[in-house]
Amino acid sequence: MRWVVFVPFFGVLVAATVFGYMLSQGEDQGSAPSTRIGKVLPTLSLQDLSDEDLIRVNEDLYGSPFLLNVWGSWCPSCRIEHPVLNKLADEESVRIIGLNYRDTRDGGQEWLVDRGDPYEFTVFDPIGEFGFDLGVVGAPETYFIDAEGIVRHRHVGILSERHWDNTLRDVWESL
Amino acid sequence: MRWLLLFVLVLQSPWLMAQTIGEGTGLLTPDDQTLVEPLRQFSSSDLEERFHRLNWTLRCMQCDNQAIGDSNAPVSAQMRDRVARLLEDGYSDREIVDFMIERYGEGVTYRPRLGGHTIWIWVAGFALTAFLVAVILGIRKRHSGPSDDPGDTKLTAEEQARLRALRERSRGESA
Repeated sequence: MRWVVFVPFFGVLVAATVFGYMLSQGEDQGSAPSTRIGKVLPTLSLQDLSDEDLIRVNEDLYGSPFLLNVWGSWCPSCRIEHPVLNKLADEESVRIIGLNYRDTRDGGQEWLVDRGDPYEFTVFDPIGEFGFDLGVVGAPETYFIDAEGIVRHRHVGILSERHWDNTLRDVWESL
Repeated sequence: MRWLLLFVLVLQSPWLMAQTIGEGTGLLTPDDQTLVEPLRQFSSSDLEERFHRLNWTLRCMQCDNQAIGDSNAPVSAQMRDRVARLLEDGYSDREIVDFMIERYGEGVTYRPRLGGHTIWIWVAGFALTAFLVAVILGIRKRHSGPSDDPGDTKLTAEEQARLRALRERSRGESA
């Protein structure tokens, strides 16, 4: 029965291993927990980036699965991500909707002219109100949303081709 | 002379830092891209006090180990702004924290709520303590048993004879 004394040490060791493993997993995938996963998108009522008279609401988004990509022309990482999105839209016909986050209208429009437009349409969220309700921390972020508007996955940071090939394509196809 | 200059600079640095943080915080507005913390007007000094207290109980989601009251990240500025607005709308402190948890998850507050998975932190702590106490009591009991006390030891006649024989032999060997 002397071994009983070592049970707590053993317990701590096991816990440290498990938590360490979980931490390293999270960083690899670029996926982040979100309180929105499994829930429907918050209420949306924003102008379209290209047309201020056009108000986009939740129903405009739903119908088929899509990626909601949070971007801004001020965001250096989005520069790296943008070609990947172009490729996904062109080659794999992934439906992507843009959320232009805390940007200026001119800056956003110029960006799409210069770098190509992978988005079905982009909603304009200059103060970041919708982003705030969604729990956006910073750009870029990409939400995987099904046809009913339920958030299924959240990807924080640059969506790279490696991420897409490793895990995200499977997530997309499962929607 | 150079040293004197350096000394003066070092003396000034905390003040300089305070200045930059103060100037850098704030909300990014669409018409004005500079970050300036708005001069907030509260309808009562009580609200203002609660505002500052809440700022130090909510965590910045973009930076590590900073409260939103201490951070100049855009998302923190936005959260401060929202806290101020909710306070004016008559929300209680608890409702404001709930509002933030709904968007950013349990990690947003420095005081996680009791219940759900956080209950296990408490249960595990008490369970481990109880276990250790039990182990310590068990060990003490075993060591304080009558058989461990040489004064109490009763030997049978046979054992006494054997002991005597052993002593004789060892005396003979050492001589």
